[in-house]
Amino acid sequence: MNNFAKYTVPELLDQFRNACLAQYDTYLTDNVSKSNKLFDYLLAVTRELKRRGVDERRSLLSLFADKNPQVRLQAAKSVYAVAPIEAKACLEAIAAAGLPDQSLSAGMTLSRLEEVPNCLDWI
Amino acid sequence: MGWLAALAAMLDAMALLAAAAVELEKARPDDPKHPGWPAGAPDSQGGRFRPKDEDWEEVAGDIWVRPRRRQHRNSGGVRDSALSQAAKRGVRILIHAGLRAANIEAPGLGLLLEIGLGLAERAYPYVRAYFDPPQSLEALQEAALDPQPGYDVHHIVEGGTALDASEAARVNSSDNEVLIPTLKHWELNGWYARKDYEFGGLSPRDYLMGKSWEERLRLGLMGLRRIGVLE
Repeated sequence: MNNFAKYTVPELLDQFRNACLAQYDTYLTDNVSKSNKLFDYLLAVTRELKRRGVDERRSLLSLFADKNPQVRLQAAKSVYAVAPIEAKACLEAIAAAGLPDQSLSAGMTLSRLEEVPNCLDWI
Repeated sequence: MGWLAALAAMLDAMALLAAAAVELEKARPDDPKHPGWPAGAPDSQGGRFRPKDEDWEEVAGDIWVRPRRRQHRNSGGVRDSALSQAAKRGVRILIHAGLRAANIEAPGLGLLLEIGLGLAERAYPYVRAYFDPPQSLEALQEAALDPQPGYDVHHIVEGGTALDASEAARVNSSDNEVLIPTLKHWELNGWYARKDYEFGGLSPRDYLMGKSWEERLRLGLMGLRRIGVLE
């Protein structure tokens, strides 16, 4: 397991973004196994941010301006528990964009949130 | 995947598509090998492929009755032999790469023309189908009885999540089968397989294992709506 404690928040955000970009490429290669390993990595980064505090975790909001939809998507899901209004708006924008894969994922998350409002609280 | 690798994959896909286009088939009313519906056929079928003569059930005057028996129930079968899996994957790569290169947020007709018509005609049904408007559940179920190029038969409740062998018949029943664009079928399958936060870190497929038919059906229908296939 990576030791994230040595990284600054900006460095953690960089790692989060890079993992999302790598995950984005797995949609081109259909490499689901790699995508799932990257999911675990993203979860570990998010938990490190969560361990440091709400403000540190909310720093993920800065990734909502990223050009890549996978970065925005994962940032929105990861920060939802502490910034639900902003995260929901981001998910809605991605869902409405008609993008392959990311729009489906964002839309399904929104649908799931309607059924189970706390489904992202465990992160 | 780096850009050079992506470019190489695109070129490979284009070569495969071009090769497939050589054996392009055209539907004609008088062609016994590739029979087509004549101009003016009902339901806008004119020019489309029709079943071969031995498969017809009834022809009355100008009324063409399509057979109700099932054809090629699997996701691959004849359609996979017509256009290889590699070529279809190429279409998907092209869609992604085209979106990325053009920085297009909302794909539309422009992208369709750029990618679909610029490549071999064999790829066109797959790209065109991707942009189909949503349809009713009944229409999707009906279409599954007569699969067309560019589309796959999709199980609303996945077979892989069946509780036991006794559910197999229900999974493979016509109520549970819909015809959806091949590329969206891959997209849905990918979504089912990838871990996600809203399912406690499990993939939707793993989450659904052991769940009731109703819950699996509800999520399956939700996916069809969210991907823009079901009204």
